[in-house]
Amino acid sequence: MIQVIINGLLIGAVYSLIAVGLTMIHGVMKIVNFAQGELLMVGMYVTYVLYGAFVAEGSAPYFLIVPVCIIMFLFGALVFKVSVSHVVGKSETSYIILTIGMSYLLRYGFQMIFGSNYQSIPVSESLKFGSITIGGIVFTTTRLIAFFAALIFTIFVNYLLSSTDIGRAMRATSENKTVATSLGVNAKIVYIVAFGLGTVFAGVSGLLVTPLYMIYPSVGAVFSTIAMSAMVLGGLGNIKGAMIGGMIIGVVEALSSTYLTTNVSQIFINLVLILILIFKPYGLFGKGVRIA
Amino acid sequence: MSRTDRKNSLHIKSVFHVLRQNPIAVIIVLVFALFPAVCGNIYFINVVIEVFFFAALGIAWNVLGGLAKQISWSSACFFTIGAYAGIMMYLSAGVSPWISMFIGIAAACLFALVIGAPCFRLRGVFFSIATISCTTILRQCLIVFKNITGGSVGLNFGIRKNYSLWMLTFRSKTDFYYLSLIWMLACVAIFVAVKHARLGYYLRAVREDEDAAASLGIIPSKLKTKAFLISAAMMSVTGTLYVFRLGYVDPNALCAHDISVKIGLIAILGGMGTTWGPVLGAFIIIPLLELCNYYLQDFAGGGAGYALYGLLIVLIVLLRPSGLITLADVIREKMAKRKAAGSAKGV
Amino acid sequence: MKKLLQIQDLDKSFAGVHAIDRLSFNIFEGEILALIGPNGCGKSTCVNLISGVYIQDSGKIIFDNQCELYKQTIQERAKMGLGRTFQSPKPFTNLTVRDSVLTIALLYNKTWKEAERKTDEMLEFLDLASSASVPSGKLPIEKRKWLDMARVMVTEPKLLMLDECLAGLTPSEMDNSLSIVKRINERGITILFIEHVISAVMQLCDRIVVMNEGHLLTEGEPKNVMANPDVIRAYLGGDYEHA
Repeated sequence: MIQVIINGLLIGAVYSLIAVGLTMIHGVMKIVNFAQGELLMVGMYVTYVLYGAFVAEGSAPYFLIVPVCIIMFLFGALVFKVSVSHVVGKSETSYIILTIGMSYLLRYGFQMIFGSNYQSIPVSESLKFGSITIGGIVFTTTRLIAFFAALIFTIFVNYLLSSTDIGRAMRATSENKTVATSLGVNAKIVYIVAFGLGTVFAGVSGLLVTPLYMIYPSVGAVFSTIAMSAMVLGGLGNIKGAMIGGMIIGVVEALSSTYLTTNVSQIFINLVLILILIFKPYGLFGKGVRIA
Repeated sequence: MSRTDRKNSLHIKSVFHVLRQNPIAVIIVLVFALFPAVCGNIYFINVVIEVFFFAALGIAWNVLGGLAKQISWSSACFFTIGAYAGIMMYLSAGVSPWISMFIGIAAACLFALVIGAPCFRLRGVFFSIATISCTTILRQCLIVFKNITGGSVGLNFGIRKNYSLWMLTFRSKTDFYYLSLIWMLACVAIFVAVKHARLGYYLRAVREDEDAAASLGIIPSKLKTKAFLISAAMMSVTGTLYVFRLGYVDPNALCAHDISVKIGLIAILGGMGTTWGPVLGAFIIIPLLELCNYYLQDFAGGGAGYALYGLLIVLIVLLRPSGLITLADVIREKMAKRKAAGSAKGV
Repeated sequence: MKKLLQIQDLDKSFAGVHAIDRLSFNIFEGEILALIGPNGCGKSTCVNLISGVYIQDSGKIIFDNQCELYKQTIQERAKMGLGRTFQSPKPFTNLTVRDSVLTIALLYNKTWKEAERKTDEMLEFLDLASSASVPSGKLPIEKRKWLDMARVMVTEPKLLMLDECLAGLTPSEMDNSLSIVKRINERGITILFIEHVISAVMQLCDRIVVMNEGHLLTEGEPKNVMANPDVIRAYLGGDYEHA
């Protein structure tokens, strides 16, 4: 039982990381990115290509984190500049549809390049199946690394938002764009950075899960739903909430797929989301919007 | 006042009004009525049948999505419920689709009530995300309860021999062509009737400003639920008809997020809240996907159709966010201007 | 005079902020009562409590002498005859002016004929007939405010709460709007007038209630209230003489 919960928490951290990226984008520009899972897929393929080109077969992919971050940031900035920037501040429908369109474009564009076959990176057996046992509980190495990397990145976001200039500018913009702009914040740059960072988080999550999951073009669909559920669970625009939301989903998934079947676990994740929304329509940590 | 006696005229007048207002639409409908007579290619006819069904679904989506701007991604649920109702009742007792259709409507409405209650407490994108969950729950339930639903394999009609309209088993493909065309037009009529009824007025008020509408006595959740029920019933009927053409159900293909998205996009890209928008949307999106899958199947790594579909969506949102049907207004305006300029010159 | 609305010891807090603090006052039938006070003193919260957007923590709101308002939803209160407009107009942007009003009229009338007659009459009454087929979102600000009034007027309210219906208007537009408010009142509709513009209040209202920091500062006839030193200190500052 504890073992299952631990497994859930470990993978939940990765879900959290994707959800944190989503939350950051939403917090700053009030856009929910329905293509976040596809950005993760892009991250997986970037890892796959870099690994094939520069890394000796069998070694761990983790030190690719720096190039992956850089590539994903640039990719995110490009995507933002070309498409998303045009719907910031427009109606909800526009960004929902735009990002859904983008998810199809990315998913099937990558399928055209890489084919629809399942790929994986040839990491060593010892990494793939390695584990540490503490007090009778088995910690799988890959999951443990993913967990700590996700944690470090989330702490990094918190630091960024609270203690750097760009972070403060982002928070100011999310509170009130007009006021922030009039005080000299360059909203355009803030938006690009926020979307770029959101993409980086998705990309890093992609890197972290490559030893765990197969790589294929539609892998993002699974993560998209999970990340959105995690974000909504926590309450939109709340980093801490997204973090906890991701963990909850990880645990629910682990419990229900261990004791029941994988098919049932999908039902449970979604039921938990709907149930929480019934009792807390703005998520666990969300604030209600004041009307009138 | 042409509107004063609308209540008594049972909205038939407004249907005629729409026909008179859209001579081009009438011509197009006539063209499609004659299409199978001139087109011998059974593949194209099949594509157009698919278009009609998805246009009907898009129109159904538009009742809630267009009039009340509730972007729902749960359409596939109702479509699936209709389909399963049709096939399950046929397989277990040989029930005609014209009867199981109503069972489907009842089931779809029940499901809509159950998911509507929590979802309509949510606003905007929260609502959208919650509806995505509903599709997943229903699909996984269909897979888990395999004793009655056939699990992930789905169900199959097998061979049907007794050809009849009553059992929707036809010898020729064109019969289904006309059936789907008629059903699509019926959906158009239902949409027009709802739009011009009290419900349509209230829904548009809710769409424009929910708080103001509430302060004036409109109960948004009640009206949205009503629209949701109408929309669900229309989708369920479409599902029942559709499955009798398809011959089988596959939960992963039918109750999929992709289907929900396709239905919504057909309406949104065509023109949200407009009567003919979804029809136009279906005529662009369905053939694009079908033809690409047919001709470009082996192009590069495959998936070219869906990649183009994604690109098209992005482009339309960026260039024509109000929907393609509004291009017709632009053309009409330009022509009127040219006409005016021409007559001014003549004088 | 008959009391239309009685507010007794009303209390409401938001996350520790005491927005309304044991507030009591009455609104008499047929009058125009002004509710004034410095920014953030709880005027809008008061309207939101009466119209049901918020529910009070304690205290009573009694409408029409017998009916206590507590559990009723916004919609139920609207149907009982409590109408309100919002600080910033909330038009049904893509509906025409006539359709906006007709939508609400349909809600309160059995037949289309009746609803359309009421709509047209109301548009005429509020000088909107000429822009009946204009999309609401394209109206100038002044007319948007009238449209908000037209919409709420077809609900046939007994009490109409106008939340800063003069904000953002030029002086000449204000005169037009004031005469409209007067006309509405002449139809026998009681008005709760929430306002910043003191000259308008002095000119229009029968009585004034002054709020400060969530509680009642004073109430009475305009002249007496405005001479009250407490009011001058709390609300108008020392500059009243020059205002």
